[in-house]
Amino acid sequence: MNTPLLTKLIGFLSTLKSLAISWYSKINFRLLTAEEIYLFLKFFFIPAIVILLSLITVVIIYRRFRLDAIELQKSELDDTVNNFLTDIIFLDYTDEETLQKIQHFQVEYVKNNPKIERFILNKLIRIKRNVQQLNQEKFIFIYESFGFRKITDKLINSYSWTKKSQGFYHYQILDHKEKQPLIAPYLDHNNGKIRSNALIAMISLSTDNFDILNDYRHAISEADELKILDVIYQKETVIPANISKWLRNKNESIVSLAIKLGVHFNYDFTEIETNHILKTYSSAIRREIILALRALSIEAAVEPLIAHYNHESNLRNKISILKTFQKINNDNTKELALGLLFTEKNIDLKFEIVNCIHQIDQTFFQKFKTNDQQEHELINRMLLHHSNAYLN
Amino acid sequence: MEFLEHLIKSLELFFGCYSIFYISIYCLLGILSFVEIRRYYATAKFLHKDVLIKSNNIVGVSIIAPAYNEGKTIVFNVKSLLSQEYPKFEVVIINDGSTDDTLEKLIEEFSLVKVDFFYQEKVKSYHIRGHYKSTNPIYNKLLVIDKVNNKSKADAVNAGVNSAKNPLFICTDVDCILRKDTIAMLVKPFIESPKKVIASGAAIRISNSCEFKEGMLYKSHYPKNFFARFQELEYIRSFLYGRMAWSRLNGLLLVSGGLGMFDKETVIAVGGYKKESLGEDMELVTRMRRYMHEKKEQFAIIYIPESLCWTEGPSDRKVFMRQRVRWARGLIQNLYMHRKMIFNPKYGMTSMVVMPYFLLCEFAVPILEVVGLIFIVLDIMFFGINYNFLVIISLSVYLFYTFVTLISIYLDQLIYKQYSNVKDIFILITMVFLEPFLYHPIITYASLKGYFNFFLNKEKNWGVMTRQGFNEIK
Repeated sequence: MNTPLLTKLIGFLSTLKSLAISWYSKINFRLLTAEEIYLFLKFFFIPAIVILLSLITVVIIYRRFRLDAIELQKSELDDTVNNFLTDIIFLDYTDEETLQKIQHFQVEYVKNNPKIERFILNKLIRIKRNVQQLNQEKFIFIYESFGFRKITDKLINSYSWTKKSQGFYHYQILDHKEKQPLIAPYLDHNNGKIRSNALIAMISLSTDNFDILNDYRHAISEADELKILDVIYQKETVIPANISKWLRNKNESIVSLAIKLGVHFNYDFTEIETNHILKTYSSAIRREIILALRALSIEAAVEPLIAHYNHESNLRNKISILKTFQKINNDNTKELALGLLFTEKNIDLKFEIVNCIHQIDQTFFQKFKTNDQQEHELINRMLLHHSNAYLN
Repeated sequence: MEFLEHLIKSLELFFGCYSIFYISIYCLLGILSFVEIRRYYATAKFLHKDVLIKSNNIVGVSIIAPAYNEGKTIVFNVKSLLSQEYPKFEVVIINDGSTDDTLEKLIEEFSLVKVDFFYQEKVKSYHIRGHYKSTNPIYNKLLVIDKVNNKSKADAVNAGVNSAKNPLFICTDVDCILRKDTIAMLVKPFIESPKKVIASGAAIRISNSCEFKEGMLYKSHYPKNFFARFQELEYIRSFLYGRMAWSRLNGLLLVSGGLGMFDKETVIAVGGYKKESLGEDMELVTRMRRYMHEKKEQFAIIYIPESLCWTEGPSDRKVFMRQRVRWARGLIQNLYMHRKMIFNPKYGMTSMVVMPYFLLCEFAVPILEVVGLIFIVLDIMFFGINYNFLVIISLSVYLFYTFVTLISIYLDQLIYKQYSNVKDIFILITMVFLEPFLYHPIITYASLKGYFNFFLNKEKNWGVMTRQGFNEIK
């Protein structure tokens, strides 16, 4: 039986009790009498909670019925709006005809209902996001004719960061380049979320090779980095001319972004650039460049990586270098790996070293011998894993 | 007699103070939970899951799911797990010494062959018989481990952790049906948080009466079975009311074993799941928190209010009781194992707020309920009792309890239209009012039995969960 716990528990409870008694006797404080508690519960607590319970029950049920009704209305409106938008976006109406049609639609269906306006605006944004090669000018004309600029500007002028960011997003998706001056001041906003959403919108709207990143001094979070890359990939632009400049940026976030963009655009990282990154930046950035060199199979990186291997302090980075050597290698790589094979004690590294040698010279382990039976078995197990087609 | 009267009076004072403390805590948790849910939905759209799904620069995730005698549903479940929408993931199934045809079915359906997997025991696990991979490229994300049963889910998951290749892993049960975007949703906190996230979790629902199509949830219904009904209610309360609030405070001590994503490096550093523990999920998180505090590194454990996982709840009394007794025993065992942390300022929030809460509000409540009942009986027998007062007090407690549950239901309905049928909502609300009479006494009994078993050091037993299978729509 766990008696010590029981004894401790009893001790704890009695301490609590004596504390409560001493506290109660020291202060001049009158507790409510039983009758007062009874009256409080009977005439305040219970009626209040009964009212609240009834209210919440009614709200839950009402909300559910309302939700079902709204869904029905929404699906009906959905069809009408879809048909209308498809019509005006894809058919060759003149500006005048489009305007007339929109005005007619507004009178008949929108009727100044802000919810319906938001519904149509969201639909328009979704179409723009998902359909490629739409007529940009026509799309902006439709957006303006509906009077949606008012809604977007109101969002941007709002105090809430979520609404502001939504406003940026509208202009970003609409590719409304003229709105850059409206968003640019927010790049240095105190609120990091506003700042990052403004940056993404500005990158999306930029026409000048993403120059905006040149002097960006704030850290970019991992989430924002993913969003920025997504925006850039979607723009289907040519390779940004500034990659080499960004690789020397003091802001590590920009370096990280540049490396990832380099991979996407097949950038040929030079030996000097590789050396600079491996010697200057944090382990996370070093890892990025190692992964990039592996993804792009840049042969020129072999020597800098060999030189760097023994100086690398991060285990994951060392593993990444060895994995890179499995793809790009030369005689010096094999020499390094052979040197490490018997000295390396870390199993994860040894595992990669074995694969590295196996990838460089498939026949090496056929003639390989060691007196240490345990070591031989270990290497053999690793080799079996690496040579199994289903595991690699 | 005078002593007894004095004792009863002291206890009345104690229960009065305790009730105020308890109600205050729950009111605070309610507010925090509401704030956190609002924050989550206000920010959720700024990193859309599609960005993660499309990305090449995303962290890899392994789904680890142990299976023991799951022959009836294993193929369906593995196919469901394999249909996750995420660019970099693998599914690791551990056949934990099943005595039925679980492994044979997997081999046949997925064209598995035994492979020479280089297995390293980074965290302790029992004997592995072999690893299997599919010869069919469609299933190249699947890895099956066949191991000898060691009467512990913890042991099986550890084997999965040792074999997983990605830096993050999801621990789930093979009978769980996950939403297609589960990985993307759980990985988001790891990417978004400025702190090092060591675990994330999401809400779990009961699948008993739900309809499934091609391994995915098709229609959600409120369960029909007695135990499953109340368990669903309990899950809603626990996930939306409790865990969201603790997530807000960064004080989560439990990431459910049914669905949780973990940082593999931290899990390995703390030695993985403990076989001896009956509440291995809570015990692991406690150790991970302890480790991070000792390393003096900022960390976060985050819950999201989305329902991402549907699991089959126990449908008969025997299985249900066994599960609850185990959970209660796991709780007391965890508090006992980490007793030195409680009120030790070195462990910050964990030791000063979270563990005392678990001790005073989660562990103590069933005991106090029974003590209270005993003293009411003594009061009636020896001193007479003010029945009006008793009725009013009992009614107040009952109403507050239903209030907390109803608020959770409201939050749940606010987030998402969970049930396909309006009738389900009516039944759910009715159950809120019946729960304190029909279900709560059973839970209290199970908790006390769990504590009792712990003090008596009775043999630990996981028991067998009987599966009904899923309602598959063709």
